[in-house]
Amino acid sequence: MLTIQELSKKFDQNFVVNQFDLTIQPHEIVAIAGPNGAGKTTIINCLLGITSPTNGEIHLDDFPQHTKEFKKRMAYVPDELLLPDALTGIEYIQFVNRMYERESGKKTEDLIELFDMQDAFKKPIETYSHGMKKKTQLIAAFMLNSQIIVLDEPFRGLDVEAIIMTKRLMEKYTEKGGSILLATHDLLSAEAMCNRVAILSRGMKVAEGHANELKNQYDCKNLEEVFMKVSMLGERRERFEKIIDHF
Amino acid sequence: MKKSLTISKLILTLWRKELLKTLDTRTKQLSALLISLSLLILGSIAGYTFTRMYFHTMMKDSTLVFTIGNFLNASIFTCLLFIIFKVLTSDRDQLSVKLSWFPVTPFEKNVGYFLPFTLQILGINLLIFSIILLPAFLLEEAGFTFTLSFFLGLILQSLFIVSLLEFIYNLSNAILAFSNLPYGKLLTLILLFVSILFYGLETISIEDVLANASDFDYNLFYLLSPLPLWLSGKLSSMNVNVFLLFGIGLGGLFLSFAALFLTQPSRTKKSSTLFRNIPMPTSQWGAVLVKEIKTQARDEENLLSLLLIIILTFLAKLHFHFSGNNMILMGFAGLSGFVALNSFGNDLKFAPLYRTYLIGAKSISLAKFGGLSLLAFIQVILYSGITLFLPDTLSSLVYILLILLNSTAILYVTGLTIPVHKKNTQAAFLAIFFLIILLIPITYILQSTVTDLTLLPKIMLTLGGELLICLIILTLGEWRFGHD
Repeated sequence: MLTIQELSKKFDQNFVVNQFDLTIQPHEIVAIAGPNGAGKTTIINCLLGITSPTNGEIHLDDFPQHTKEFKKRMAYVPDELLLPDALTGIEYIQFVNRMYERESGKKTEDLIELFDMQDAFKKPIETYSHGMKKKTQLIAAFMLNSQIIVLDEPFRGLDVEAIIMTKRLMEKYTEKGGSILLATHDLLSAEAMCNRVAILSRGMKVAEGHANELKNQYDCKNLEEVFMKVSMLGERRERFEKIIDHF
Repeated sequence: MKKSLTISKLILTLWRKELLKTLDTRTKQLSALLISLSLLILGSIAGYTFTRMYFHTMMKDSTLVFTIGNFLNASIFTCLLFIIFKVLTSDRDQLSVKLSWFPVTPFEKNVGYFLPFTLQILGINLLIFSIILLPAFLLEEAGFTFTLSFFLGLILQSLFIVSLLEFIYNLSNAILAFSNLPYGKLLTLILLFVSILFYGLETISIEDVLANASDFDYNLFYLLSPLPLWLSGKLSSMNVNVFLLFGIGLGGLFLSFAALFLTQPSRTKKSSTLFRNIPMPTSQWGAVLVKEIKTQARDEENLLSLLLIIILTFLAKLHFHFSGNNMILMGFAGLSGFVALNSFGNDLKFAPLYRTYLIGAKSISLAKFGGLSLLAFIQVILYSGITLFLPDTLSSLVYILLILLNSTAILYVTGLTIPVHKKNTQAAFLAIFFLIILLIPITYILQSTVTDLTLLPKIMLTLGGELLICLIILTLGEWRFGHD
């Protein structure tokens, strides 16, 4: 179980994340959604140890965030395609395996086949399209024997077939006991796939629950409406409508 | 021209922002300020110690020979900076690609790039020569008018040389692109280098410089040296036509601007899979080391600099008729460490991911340094294989290895401090500047302490120095890969 307690992060005297709490159980997919700059990436960066939080605690079962045991159980697909361009896909996969102290196996080969990357993996990453780079990151994350996967906008840049495959993989992974933290702007997918959705606005969690619960609670037809309402974007909507009408 | 100035302004703003990204906290800014100030003070003391006697004698006996000597140095230094920056940076950066679909002519774009590039070279030149010479000018009372006109002349001389180099570079680039020859940038840089080398070797001699005290020969490498004397009223004893000097100077600038009308070719980046047969070792440390070798060996700019260094050292060996191979191999070993300069910069985007792995920041830094040293060593072996130059004795081999390790370490530390990569021209300028102001005091300290020591203290001092470098690599690496 992943537990995030009272997580805060301050940059230049401003809180970009403030008192954020979240728990993710095994078999669960939980989404965090919010407008640009709401603090999603900062939460993920704190979770992965890329930045250190100002306050708060993060645990995976009994393991604190900074421990080797925590990192061993965690996999990550970044939104920004952080890849070493000069390596080939297969060299990158081998490198990630070494970093997690494991050997490549049948699972990796199957994933490469699933995403149709056999030929591309022989070429340097710098020759890949955006979608191919995303596929490489997905393979590198799903091949690990992790307990939780953090997916930051996993569908962006993927073709339809790859999106379907990724969603199927996510379902299978959680069926087998894994947990997924999904950061996304794609609220339709979040509504369809996630057990819970946490909505962020200006660094604070403003709503959390199952999509249906949230719709009932805020008297909205879909999650997009809930999102507009709770993230305070609704207030600006009338003004935006006017601008678009006069465009 | 308005668009060019807008492009120049944008480039300078981008550079400033990149610099602020490197110095993004108060602690980093204060540390940078303190380090720079200490280095500048140490550099100035070193500069004064090196130049005091020579300055005193030259100013008394022959001001012109002194001016010629320094203008010649400034020109050589300008050539070196020009070639280094062209090697380290890509001609097609992100802004250049974006400008492709804007209504901007090649001339406007080229001028927009030329101005900040030249400004940086002139800035570094002025700073370095100020550090080395200004204390002597002030303490030996060279006079306000002469000091001012000397440094003004020095800058104009550097501008003249940059203009000429830019003219050759752009013209050669355009001709090679037109003739569809591959490796255009490499061939252009070789042509540029050979032109400088042969013009320099054919036209400059000590006898000529001394003879110039009465009859000036208008050599391009010290063309504007009579200018400070003319401005400070000391030119009476010399046969020189000042208007001709201005004419040649302006001609150089005109040629440079004329070449900026040429469209610069857009080349497709070549991908390499060098060392693809080396497997990833099972240990984490080994995997980082091998990743570093593969990444840096496949970098286009690194391959380019390797080829240039091979040609440079080979030509030097042929021209100066070095009797043994040691000198040339030591020079090559020192330069082969250049592969470490852009190591952190090339990994900058990927660096945050290291923190998600099960390996410590110090291990990453050390493994990367190990990989870079091995790559530098592979380059020396390759060079020896191509040229058939082998170390003459076993002790020479040890010296070569020590030079290789230290050069790699210093350049790796420089790159960790100022991340250099092909898309960030400003960082390359800053790094080279940092390296120079770092090396001036180091040379001074070593020269003033090591010379009089006996063998044992020398060995102890060397070991201490090596330990210090290791400590810096570990500390800087931990900061960059662990906390930055």
